[in-house]
Amino acid sequence: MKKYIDTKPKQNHAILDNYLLIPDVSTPEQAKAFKQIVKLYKHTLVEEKNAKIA
Amino acid sequence: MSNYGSILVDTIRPFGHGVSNVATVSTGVQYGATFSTSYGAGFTAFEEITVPVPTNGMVTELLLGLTVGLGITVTTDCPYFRIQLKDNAQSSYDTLFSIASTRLASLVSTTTLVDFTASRVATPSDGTYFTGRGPFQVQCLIAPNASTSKALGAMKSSSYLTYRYYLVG
Repeated sequence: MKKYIDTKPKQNHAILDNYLLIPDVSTPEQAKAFKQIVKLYKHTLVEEKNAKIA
Repeated sequence: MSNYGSILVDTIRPFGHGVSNVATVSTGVQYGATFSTSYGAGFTAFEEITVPVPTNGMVTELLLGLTVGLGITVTTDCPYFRIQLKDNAQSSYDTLFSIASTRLASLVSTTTLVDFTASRVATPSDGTYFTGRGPFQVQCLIAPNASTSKALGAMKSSSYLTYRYYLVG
């Protein structure tokens, strides 16, 4: 199994209602992609809440 | 999104609302009792989450971990826990992955954490099921103590699900 070694400082953490997201990004493209990922999580959380209400 | 290479994302999710889910399914759910669902005998789900994946991205490795903080002192018929993984197109939750903790020893105190991590990491090349496209769904389950009230009290706010994955796009 691959071993994970954290060598880069964490940045751009995102804190949502039920999540802490910690990306390991080093390029502007990665940072931009992570922002899109956070949007997806926000959308997913809304869907989860709606499902619980229904 | 433009080409971003590979991103490692760590996620931590406290159970929070999951505790109330346990309450809703507690009646009649006891370890050792027949529980005729896809969860497996004795197990019931207390948390289900979706791991979203961008349409132009692909998950190449996914690690799951579950830490459960105990809210009771366990005596006999001790509970244990399981985490499962499937992708959105599959019906059975253990299609991609399933791992269970060991059953707690008796007289485990409230200061003990049940802490275990999935040992299997799926990659697109190691099986026919895992495409890496997602979205994925993770399910946490408990096989409760013979006393349902103890099952309800088996978790407290220090419980959380963790997962980390490589996203390539």
